[in-house]
Amino acid sequence: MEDVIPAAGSLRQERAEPLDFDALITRYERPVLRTAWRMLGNLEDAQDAAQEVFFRLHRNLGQFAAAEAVGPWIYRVTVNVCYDVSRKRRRFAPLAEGFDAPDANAGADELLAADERRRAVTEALARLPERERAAVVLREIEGLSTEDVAAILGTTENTVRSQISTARGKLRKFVERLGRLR
Amino acid sequence: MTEQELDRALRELAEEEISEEALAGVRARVRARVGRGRAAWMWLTAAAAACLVFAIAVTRTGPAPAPAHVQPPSAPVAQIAPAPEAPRVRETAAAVAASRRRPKPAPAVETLTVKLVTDDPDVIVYWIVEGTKGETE
Repeated sequence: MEDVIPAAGSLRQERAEPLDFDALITRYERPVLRTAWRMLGNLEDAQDAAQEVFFRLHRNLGQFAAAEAVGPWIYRVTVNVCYDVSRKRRRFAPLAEGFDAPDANAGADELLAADERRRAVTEALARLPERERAAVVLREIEGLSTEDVAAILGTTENTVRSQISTARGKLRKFVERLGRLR
Repeated sequence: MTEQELDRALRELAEEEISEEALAGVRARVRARVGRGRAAWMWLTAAAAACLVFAIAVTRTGPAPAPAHVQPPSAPVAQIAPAPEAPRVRETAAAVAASRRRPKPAPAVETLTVKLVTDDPDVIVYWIVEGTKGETE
């Protein structure tokens, strides 16, 4: 399954693929949309971001001598586009973000439901600083290697590790504050 | 919340299925936008081609009129024009003098030549009579 683009190995095994735009869309639409979704917190903004990413890919298709560079490039562009969308959204819709107050009447079973857990972590992700959120999404959700994440974010592996460690601590605290997980 | 619980929650986020509808929406929007971009490029290319054709047409028709504009002024005006100027002045002066001598314009002159043959075959007398009609000089 091509949903998850795991680690450096797979990013570098694309040499044989022709630079066919439709094929690249098919290959990367899920990772791009999922990354944007987790970065932005809602699917509608993620679709806007994904559209922009693929348009930029089409515009820059000629710069890739081989498809090998598309993987890291497309993640980097996705993250940057998400930063832009996030900043615009913050500027024009400042009240859109924030934690929902935990439902005091919710039962323990409901709180443990997978759906609730995902929502809680999604909300917690939205509270993270941009760089930490990008590191967690790429490393923990997309499953890329620390090395690839560092290359995509233009930083060092140690910085990525540090960002992820800090972000995980914040996520746990955010979710606990929400009271949606045990 | 433990590390394991967080890992599980993140894994669930990674495994959450993206609807085919959402993906199709992205695809359609990308293709529409790329199509618009292509159309814009086609128009730009067509406009550039039209400009090029126009430029070529202008360049090709250009050299023909150029000599017509350049050559005539230099040659005839420089060489021929000054020459008639002087005689024209003299002619004018002569005409003025003639008009002074003959205030009236000269009437139409008829020339009459009379050939007189003498006894000597080597002597022939020509009598040329000039004058207006009915006048003999």
